[in-house]
Amino acid sequence: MKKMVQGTEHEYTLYCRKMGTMGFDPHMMALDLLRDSDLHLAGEFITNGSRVYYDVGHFEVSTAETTNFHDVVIWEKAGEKILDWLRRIMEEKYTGDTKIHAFKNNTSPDGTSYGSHENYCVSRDVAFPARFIRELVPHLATRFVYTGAGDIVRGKYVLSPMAFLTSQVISGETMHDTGLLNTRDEPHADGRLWRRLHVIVGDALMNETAIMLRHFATSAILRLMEADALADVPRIKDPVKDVWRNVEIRNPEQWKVELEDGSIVSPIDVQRYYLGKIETLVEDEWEHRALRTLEEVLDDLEGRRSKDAARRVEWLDRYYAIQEALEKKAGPDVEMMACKQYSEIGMDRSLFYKRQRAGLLDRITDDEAIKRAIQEPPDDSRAHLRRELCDTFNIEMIDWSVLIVNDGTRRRIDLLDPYATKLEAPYATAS
Amino acid sequence: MQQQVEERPKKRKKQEKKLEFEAGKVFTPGEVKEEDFELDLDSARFKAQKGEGGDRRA
Repeated sequence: MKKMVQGTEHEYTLYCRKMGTMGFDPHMMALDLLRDSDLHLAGEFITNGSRVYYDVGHFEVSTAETTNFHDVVIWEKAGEKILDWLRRIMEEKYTGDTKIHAFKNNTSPDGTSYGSHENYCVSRDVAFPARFIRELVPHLATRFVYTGAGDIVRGKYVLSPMAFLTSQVISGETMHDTGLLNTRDEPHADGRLWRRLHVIVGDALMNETAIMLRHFATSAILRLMEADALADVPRIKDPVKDVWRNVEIRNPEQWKVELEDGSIVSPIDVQRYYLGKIETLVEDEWEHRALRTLEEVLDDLEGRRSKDAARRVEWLDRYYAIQEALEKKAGPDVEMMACKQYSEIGMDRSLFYKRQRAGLLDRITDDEAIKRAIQEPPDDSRAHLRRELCDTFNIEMIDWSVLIVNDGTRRRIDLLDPYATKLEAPYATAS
Repeated sequence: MQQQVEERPKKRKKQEKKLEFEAGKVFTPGEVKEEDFELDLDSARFKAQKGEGGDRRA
């Protein structure tokens, strides 16, 4: 499959009983620590090519530009580990016995929501929004059966909090009245060639396999759209209505999607349509493995082999974690505690990491790869070049696609190709 | 035509950073005792600010 630049953004929530108007803000303190560490590169960028900043009350990490569905998992996990390191330092240095929690999820117990977004660099040639509504929305409206994180929202267990909280088919909003398809168009690249598709209907995921499947399927479908290979895609009559219905149902036999011709199918059927198309793209071993995994997950969901599916499907495993907690402990808060504690990023507190250590969950990478990704950018994207320029020049200003360097005069270097690992000739000569 | 290349200023030496990343802190949960693993009430009561997440239309 042809490479596709992609990445994720997560708004992490930090919480400490000492925070507040008379206390401190751990989000800001974590950023201050990061900028005074050996991981800081320049401006809001860190050495692994990611961008880390404060955004609407959260510690946000945007991963470096990765070029495939496998690397995005590794760099996303690297961001998670960096924040966990900062959290531990803050506890050791500043709060003593008072814990600082860090959550990778999308809602707090009172239902307040925050985001986790995906970005895909797609060809400008694919007509927006018409073809995205026709060919991508059926995917975005059904993929949560295996990409959902699970959560308790408004007193109900839902398969995907962000799908549950979506209001429209298409919208430019990111905080209220959001859409399955988001219209934001900030390419951070040559806008004549590329669109940055901003997907905001996805959940913050802990499970490596779930993250991988989400990016494998979505990036492959975008490549199929570029090749004009999805003309016969199932057309869903009312995608938001079906999302709202299915997102509250755990039994796959009761999931339903109504097509424009009046027929009723399962979201699994819609995903199987895409699976068949994706099969025509797979080439290397990673892609074959991802395809097999996706097929097995759909089979397990359809065959109601829930324990098998839960190794890769987060909403199922979180549900099992909550049930196990309820069996061991009584009390009004147990369900919510287990639901939210699943998403703590500290290995010593997180129910997810406890279950991963117990061998209940499938991984797709290892700690050594994540450790490398904490320090270094991917070597096959613009992130590599940006790091090289920062190591070479005094940096006056830095953003995804532009640098202003001080090489005697203030000079602007545009990085409009997100795949470029070398500067074009005029810049190379001067550097 | 040969391009003139002026000598550019050397990259400023990075200020000494106070913190060095320690992988052991986050990858080696040696201190975790699975049998003592407790649910924490903070997890059911923490507050967060509204961020870039949706709110289903009423």
